Amino acid sequence: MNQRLHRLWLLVVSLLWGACSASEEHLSPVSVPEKGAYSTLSEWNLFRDLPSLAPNSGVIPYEVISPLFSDYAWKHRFMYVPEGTQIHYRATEAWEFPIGSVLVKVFAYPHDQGGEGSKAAGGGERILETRLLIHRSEGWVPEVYVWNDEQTEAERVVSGELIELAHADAEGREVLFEYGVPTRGECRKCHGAVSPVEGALATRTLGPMTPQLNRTNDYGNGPENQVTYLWNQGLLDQQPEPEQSRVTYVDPADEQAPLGLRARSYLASNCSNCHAEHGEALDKRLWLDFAHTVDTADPYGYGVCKRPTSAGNAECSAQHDVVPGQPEDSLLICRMQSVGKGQMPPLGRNLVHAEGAALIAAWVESMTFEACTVAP
Amino acid sequence: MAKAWVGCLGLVLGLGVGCAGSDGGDGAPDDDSANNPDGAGGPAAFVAARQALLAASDDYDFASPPATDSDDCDVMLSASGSDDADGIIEAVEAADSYSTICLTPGTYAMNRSVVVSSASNLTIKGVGDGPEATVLDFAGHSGDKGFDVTTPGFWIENLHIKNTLGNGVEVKAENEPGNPVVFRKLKVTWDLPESGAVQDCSESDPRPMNGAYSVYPTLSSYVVVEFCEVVGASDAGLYVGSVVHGLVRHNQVHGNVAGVEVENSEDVLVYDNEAFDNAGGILALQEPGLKRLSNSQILIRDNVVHDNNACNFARPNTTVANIPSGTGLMSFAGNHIEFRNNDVYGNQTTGVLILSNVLQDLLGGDAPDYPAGYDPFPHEIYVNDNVFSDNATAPAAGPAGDLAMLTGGFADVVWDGFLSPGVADAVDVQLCLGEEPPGFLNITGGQCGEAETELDFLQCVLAGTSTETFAHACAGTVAADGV
Repeated sequence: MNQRLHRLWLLVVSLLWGACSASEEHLSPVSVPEKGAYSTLSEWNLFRDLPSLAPNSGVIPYEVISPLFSDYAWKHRFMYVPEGTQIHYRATEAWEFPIGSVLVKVFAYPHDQGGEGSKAAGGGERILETRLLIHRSEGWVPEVYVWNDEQTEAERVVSGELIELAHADAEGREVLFEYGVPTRGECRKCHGAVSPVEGALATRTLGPMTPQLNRTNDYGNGPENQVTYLWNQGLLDQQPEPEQSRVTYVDPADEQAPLGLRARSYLASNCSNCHAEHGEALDKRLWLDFAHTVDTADPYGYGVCKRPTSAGNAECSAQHDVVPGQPEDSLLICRMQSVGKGQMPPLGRNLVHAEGAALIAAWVESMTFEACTVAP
Repeated sequence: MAKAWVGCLGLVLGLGVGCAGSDGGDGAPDDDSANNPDGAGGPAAFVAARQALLAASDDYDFASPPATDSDDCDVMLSASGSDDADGIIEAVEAADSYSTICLTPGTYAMNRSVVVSSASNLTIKGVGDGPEATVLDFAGHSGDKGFDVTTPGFWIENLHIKNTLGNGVEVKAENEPGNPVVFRKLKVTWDLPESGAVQDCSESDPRPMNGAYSVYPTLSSYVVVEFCEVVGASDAGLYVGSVVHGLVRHNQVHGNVAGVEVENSEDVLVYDNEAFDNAGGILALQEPGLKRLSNSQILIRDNVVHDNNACNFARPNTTVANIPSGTGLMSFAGNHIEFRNNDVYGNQTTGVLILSNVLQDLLGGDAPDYPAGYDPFPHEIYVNDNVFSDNATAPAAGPAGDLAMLTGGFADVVWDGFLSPGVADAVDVQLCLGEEPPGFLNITGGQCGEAETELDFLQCVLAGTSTETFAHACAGTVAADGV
């Protein structure tokens, strides 16, 4: 509820700013340097007002349906596409953005969980970091900016940072942990692809794709479909399919949605960045992308009765990746519940996503395939 | 001079024949920049200099490896004693392709994993006197691996990497022919085994907490691992997996579960290594659980493989947990695998173990469910001209020991005897032991694949076991050039 209120507040701020500045037009446009990166976030002019995250002209907020878990951080997402250019629309794969585009992701925690952040932002949250992906001719280049305590500016960080935070778990207990701001190299672990060619980064975007964006957002005229909105704004190079016929993930937290779809959506956004045919873990032959987890797919492909080779050296005794009906004997669940050695995903979290692990466990529990044979 | 070098390198790396060190093998190639389109210091010269180093490697051995140059350092870093990974990461991110980051001697407190995912053909090396002079201590670091590399042409040299949570140095990259990823003069260890902790594979043995793999090129092409010492890995010390074209030479591997493991790869040459005090010395494995399903064209020659009798401290759900302690050399499924001219002694279970996946499944009570395209049987395995002594003296307790008792004792070469369905006899499986076969045991005589229960199986073994070698008096070879 807190988060929803905050988003509403953000929207009001951005609308107000929009209304004021439309007539004034004194704001500089978004600035993408020819090479390299600015040392501060404000220099990019992505926001009219940094502390409030009010987007500049051409910077469009968006939400995804099935978010990547990042230690319970709140995220605010924006895309910037250079004026006069369009995104190449694709029905299921990641959209292709024009050179010069910037994707923006802001990571924040509510004050009561984020420690002693300044209240200057006033939005009930402490912003920790902002990650950019800049589309250059050589590929998507990651940059990371860590916000100051005053919440007035963010400085470029190359080698990551650990920030002590307290998180309130489902029972309201305070859990102290280190929030990890990624190194640029770590950005490329998820946003990379296998076999980068010499001179090309072979990096990619993850969120902006139809299955993730086919949901409503409020751009000032009440709830409307994001994909349709972007088409209406002239930002897509071809007309998307009608809303109802688009391949779409479901919100994994939506208990009204079918269990299988929720689990598959979760695996798609949290695991298939690596565990897919174009992901870095392809050698492991464990396919967790949306297409390979459908009922008609080969269950061995998503780990059913598949024996691990090295099991990531996790402290798990499970002998198979997935044992139908037995989440407690499934390595997949054990590794989702691990922190540190053998944890999955290996990056982007230092806490267990209890709800995510419970969801996948429920999905494994519901499987009715024959049991795997286990060594005595 | 430079042309002569390239020709010589082609011979060594391409054809697998020697190249006299006196033909320029003991120094840097002439700077032939006038004829080099890239000019001095350009990519071509950079690669040529690397090739020259690799071409000279066989003039050295593990005990006296080639020196590490500091002339070509683009960046020189030193240890501060805290958060030292940050400086290395910043240098890696700032580096151009074809550049060299050097680390001065000292102990670097590595607070994070180092991801190399931007510049290609990056070199990172210590410039001290041997790897132990430049220690990268990852104790307590964030992240999992020590180095995590996905760019081609990576070269890492002369460093002691210790205490990584997961793998020591992991590389996944499609490298160009003639410009491999190179792991050179690395020492990779964990402190736990050295601190006086028990090493008996009991519950208080801390070694399962060590990283799984020390040197871990995987899903890569063109790989060289040389002059490395790997100790204490809880899976394989020196792993080459899902690799096409690999060269593993002049290394010393000890105290790991598996010393050297070549898995689901093709064209890998393993020579002049010493493997001892592991549970298994040098292994060629064909695993069903990976994307690349076959292990073929693997030549393991001229190694010293001895006293691999350490208890197996692998976690129970790993492939290597199945390796009987006391195994010198091993081939698990696979095709076109040759063990040639190795010195194999003091391995208490056996010198060479040749297994199908069938035996493991029978012993493990598992109904195999292999992906399409996986072959659980070995084919064309050659054991030629090895020197065996004092092996098979006390097969490890457990399945190996039980079978040894049933069969009246193990031999220098032990084969489970399982043939592909439809294969008539042992000749078809082409397990060749050469003109003068070593001591040999065929556990099942090829008869026991249909056994329904463990008892049936054991009775069948009693009836079927054989030491006859006449069917194996052939001597095929494997041509593996490596890179």
